[in-house]
Amino acid sequence: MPPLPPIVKEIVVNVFCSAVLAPILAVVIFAACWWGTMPSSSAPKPTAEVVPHNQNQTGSPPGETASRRSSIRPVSGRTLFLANCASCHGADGSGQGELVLDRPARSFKDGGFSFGNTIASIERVITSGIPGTPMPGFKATLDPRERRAVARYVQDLGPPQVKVNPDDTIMSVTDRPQVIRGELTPLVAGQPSHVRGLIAGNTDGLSWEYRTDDVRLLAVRQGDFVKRENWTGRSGEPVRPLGRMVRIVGSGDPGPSFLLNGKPVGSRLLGTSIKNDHVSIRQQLVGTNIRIAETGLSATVGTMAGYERMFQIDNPDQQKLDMPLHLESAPELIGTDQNGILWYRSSGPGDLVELTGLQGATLVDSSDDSIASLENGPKASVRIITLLAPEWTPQLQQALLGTEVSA
Amino acid sequence: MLSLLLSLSSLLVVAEESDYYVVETIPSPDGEVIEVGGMDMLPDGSLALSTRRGRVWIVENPTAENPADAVWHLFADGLAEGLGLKVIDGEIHVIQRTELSRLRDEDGDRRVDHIDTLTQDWGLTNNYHEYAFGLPVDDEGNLYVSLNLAFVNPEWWHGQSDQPWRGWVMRISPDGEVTPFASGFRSPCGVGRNAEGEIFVTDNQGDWMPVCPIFHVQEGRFYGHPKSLRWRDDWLSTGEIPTDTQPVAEPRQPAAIWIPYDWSRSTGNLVADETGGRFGPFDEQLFVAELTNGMVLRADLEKINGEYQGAIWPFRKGVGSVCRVRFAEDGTLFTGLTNRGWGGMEPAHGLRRIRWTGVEPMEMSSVDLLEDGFEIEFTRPIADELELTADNFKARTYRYNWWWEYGSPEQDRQPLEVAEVTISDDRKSLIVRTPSLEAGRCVRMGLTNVRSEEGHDLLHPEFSYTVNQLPGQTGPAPMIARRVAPPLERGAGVLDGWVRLTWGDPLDRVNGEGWTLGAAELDAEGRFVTKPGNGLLMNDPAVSRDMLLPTGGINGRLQFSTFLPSGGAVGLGLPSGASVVLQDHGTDPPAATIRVMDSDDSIIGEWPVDFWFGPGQWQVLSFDYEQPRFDEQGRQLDQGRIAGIYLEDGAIAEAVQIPMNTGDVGSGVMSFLGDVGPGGISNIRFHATNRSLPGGGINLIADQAMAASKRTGELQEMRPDGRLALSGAGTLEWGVQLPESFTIAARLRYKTGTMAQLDLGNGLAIHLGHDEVGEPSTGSLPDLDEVTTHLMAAGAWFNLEATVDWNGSRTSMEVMLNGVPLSAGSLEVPDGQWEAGARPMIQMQSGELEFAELRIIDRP
Repeated sequence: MPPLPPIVKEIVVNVFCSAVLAPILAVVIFAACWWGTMPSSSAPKPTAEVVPHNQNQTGSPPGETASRRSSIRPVSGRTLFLANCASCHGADGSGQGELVLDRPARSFKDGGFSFGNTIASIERVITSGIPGTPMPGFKATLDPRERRAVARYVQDLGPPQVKVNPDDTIMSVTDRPQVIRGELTPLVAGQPSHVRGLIAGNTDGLSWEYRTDDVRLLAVRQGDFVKRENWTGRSGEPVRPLGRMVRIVGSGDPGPSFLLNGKPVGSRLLGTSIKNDHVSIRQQLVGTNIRIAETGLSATVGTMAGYERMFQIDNPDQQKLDMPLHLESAPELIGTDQNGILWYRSSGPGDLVELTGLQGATLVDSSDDSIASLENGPKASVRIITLLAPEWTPQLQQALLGTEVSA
Repeated sequence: MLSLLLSLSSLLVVAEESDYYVVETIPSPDGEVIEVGGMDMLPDGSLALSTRRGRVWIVENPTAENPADAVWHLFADGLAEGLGLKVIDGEIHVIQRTELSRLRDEDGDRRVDHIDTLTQDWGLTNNYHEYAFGLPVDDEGNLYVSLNLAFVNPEWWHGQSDQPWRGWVMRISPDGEVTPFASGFRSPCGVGRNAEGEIFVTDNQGDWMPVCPIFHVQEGRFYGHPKSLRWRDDWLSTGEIPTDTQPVAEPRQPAAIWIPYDWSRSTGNLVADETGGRFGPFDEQLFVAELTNGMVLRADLEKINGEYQGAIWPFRKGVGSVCRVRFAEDGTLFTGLTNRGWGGMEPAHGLRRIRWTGVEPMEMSSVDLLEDGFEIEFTRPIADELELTADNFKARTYRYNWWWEYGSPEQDRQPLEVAEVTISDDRKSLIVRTPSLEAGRCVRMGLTNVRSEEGHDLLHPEFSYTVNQLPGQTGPAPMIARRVAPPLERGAGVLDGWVRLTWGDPLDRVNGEGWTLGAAELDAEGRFVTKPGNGLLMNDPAVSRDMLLPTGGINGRLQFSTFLPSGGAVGLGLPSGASVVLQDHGTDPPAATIRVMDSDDSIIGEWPVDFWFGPGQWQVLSFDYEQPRFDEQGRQLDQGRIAGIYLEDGAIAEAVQIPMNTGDVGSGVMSFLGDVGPGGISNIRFHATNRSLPGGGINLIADQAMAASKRTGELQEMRPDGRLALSGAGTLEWGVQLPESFTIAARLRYKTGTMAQLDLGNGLAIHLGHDEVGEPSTGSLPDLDEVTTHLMAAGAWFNLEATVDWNGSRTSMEVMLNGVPLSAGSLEVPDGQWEAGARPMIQMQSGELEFAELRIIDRP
């Protein structure tokens, strides 16, 4: 293995915590370190989760707003609230509705909720109602999307849960993924910065750093999200990621993400989407009709932790696509697990062992770079899983090939 | 006296902007700093706004009677700035520094789910100044975006286009295809459209932008800043890159409006009033955001010979750093505040709204250009009893320089004669005939004593009209922003004719006993802090003496920057003993008055200061002073006159006569009063009205005189256009012999780092040039009167007049720079040692020195 640049050594030390000193199974410790900085459920809500100011809020009359509903795109939580909830809870959520009930309706303005104030719990109440009270369930009248919208709206009616310090530039991921766009500083000294970049942070604590002038994954991190210094002063500062480095891709300055018919091809950013609690990066290969959505997931196999890049590929012309994997040594096939994932072993950063799982792709024999050949059906789904382990053991192999990989 | 003033003031009916338009704050979410970069209305009547900090908020209920009833929802976070926002078919589009995006909320929970990147196809470096602004849409669905130039240190004032399309307005089709649309922009902060759907862009004053313009943007045209041209095909094909300082020969599209500097220093976006009269009587006119002066302006455009041009007025002051304006359907004008780290009026961020009270103001509703004047329409009929004549109108015309200098002062100001005024039968319009009006000039016209039938004073009595063309004109008109020779150094062009009395070494040429030199800073209570610095001369009324200036009986403009503590004041003493006091009221919002008092402290006049920014803000005051006048019999008519008092370029008072009285006799010079204050001043300058040099004499730079001169050392000599340019080190001695008493008349300039002297024999010499502060500077007389203030700006042409007298035992010399006597001295010459027939000589150590004139005039 070539000598590591200093930053990679530091990463390995970070990821690895104090595993060398630990007297117990390194694999277990690795997993423990990996998740060690996840925010605990009791941690205060971070600052970026701004709950709006809503004192003395009044709504317009329900009828008037409801009559406009057809022109509103998309359906807003407020409109639904006014149409379905305001008669009892009041247009302003104060509990002072037009209907007089023997048991007063809940005031949302105080922030009190019968079964918890998370979106999920409010949604449950909206769906099923509260037995023994006038609160009905809305399962039949509102679809899940509308119930979610009402739940968000009702939650927002409560008092601000977090004070935002205007000088506070920390942006955090809590119950919902975040994406930040802006300039990224070089990952390795001497490399260029990327004036167009983004970092996607998922609720699993992993964040994904891309350049977006030509979409390329640069790094995967774990831990806190970002310090957004980009607007400080008169603007123009880079975004500073806060997570610990898990993996730098292609020594921090990888080439194009995809090969088309064996040749590098550029990738244009189409956008980012938040779906199912993950961010996907949508892109289109330059000069083609190939559209790709990449979603970064965390992955665990037994006690081993890692990450997965999942690609949904629209390839109407079924063109041949390959993808450099940026492995640090020639991979060796270990076997196929029960899900049909092909597992390869190579040297990872530092002294770690890197395990690569491929689904919807196979490894092309290549002397100096590891290239995965992707399925080229019109709608392909490709998974590339990366696990890092301190050492390769028979127990690890057993765990890998005998256990289902859960994402 | 006081009772007289009170009774006078009770007769005046002063119209206030707030009688007609109220400003209200929509409270921001707790702790949130809302720096608005873009705003538009959503179909449900909510306001969507994007911020410089990369967030998008939806403000529900923004027109609620009680502004605190508005509810904020955080819709999106993590954008790379959002300096323009447009709602198209209910979907929010935001221009970010890095991309144009569509933000979609799929599940209706008021949080963005998808950010679609429509395009990233323009160049970007990591320079902070490469903002991207927007975002109007045309009838075909194309979006318009403007791209700032970079400001690269150290010479940040030269805007740079280091990546494609910086300095351009771009058109982006609905499917994201980017077309470079027009070039020549510098810092085009506001992009909008008028009621006809045409695209307009504002820019910000600086290099190649003399003041802030409103441009009608048309495809393929060039608007004045040369740097952007390098990306145009014809320039790309030659590979040539426009320089920082040389004007280009491209045809320029003139501004539809050049906004006077005292009205706008940083212009934001503009929006047409299409609310059908719900915002008052200005249907389809443009409302323009202005952040430094913290207000909204109103513009009325018309097409003359097929091109837009028109009039502009202040509309509503005291709003805050208005960067964005947007109308709601009900006629509410939302104002989004941001000063993005620049100085801008407080409040510097947040959301406010302007609502019409329903009372129609007395305003000029429109100004239309005629071949020989203007037709002015009013919102209400002019009072029946008013007889308006030409005396009620005061107008001037001016133009600007188009150069790399940071902005341009008004150039070639000329009074515009009003020949005739006609009122229409319905008394709602006037025709003002100004037969000498020419194309290629801006007009600034003020109306006095105009009020409506119901007694409303004309709320904004001054307008500015940009006359690019006259109706019916054939052939091209000169550009208002005229191409001029590039200044040699920064500041040189605008300092032509000035003497800088406190530059570099502030207390050398003025007497400032008891004044403190320090940093311009206030503490939380608005008092001066005492920190070392070189920025501000502060007085303490208890101990400071009057600061005497060397500008006694000279007509001219005294100008200085002022920085007051809360409730502070600065007093200017006139030669007669009368005084002018600027007093901050220590109030919120800030207010100040200017008072002119006679030597016995009786009040000659008192005026409110419009556009007063308040304590802790730098503002420039100018006083035009004229000496006492005498009638034909030689009787003194007055003790002088203040022809004008101006804040920035805006008049506070004009033609104030200092009456004859029996009070104390003044100092005979101008001074800053030690016992009025506390106040802070800096950058005191004087611009004498008469700076002309005496004529005649021997021309030392004529070919004949030069032919008889001797050079030594490494002195280089050049003769550009017949001038004499010297550089390097060495001497130049002329063959001409100096008479006993004579005057030197010179017009010259030099570059920073020039050290030279003009030797005049018998131990007399004048230092020319300057380098480090503390070393001798221009006007210094070696061994007689050392000048260390940098009175002259490097690069600026100036006049030097030195008179030398020999009376048989003493030789004496006095030096005037730009008409102001600044140094003098005399020397006892022992018997028999005075040398007749000395020859003038230049000794140069370093730098570059250039004479346009150098003459010796004998005074027998």
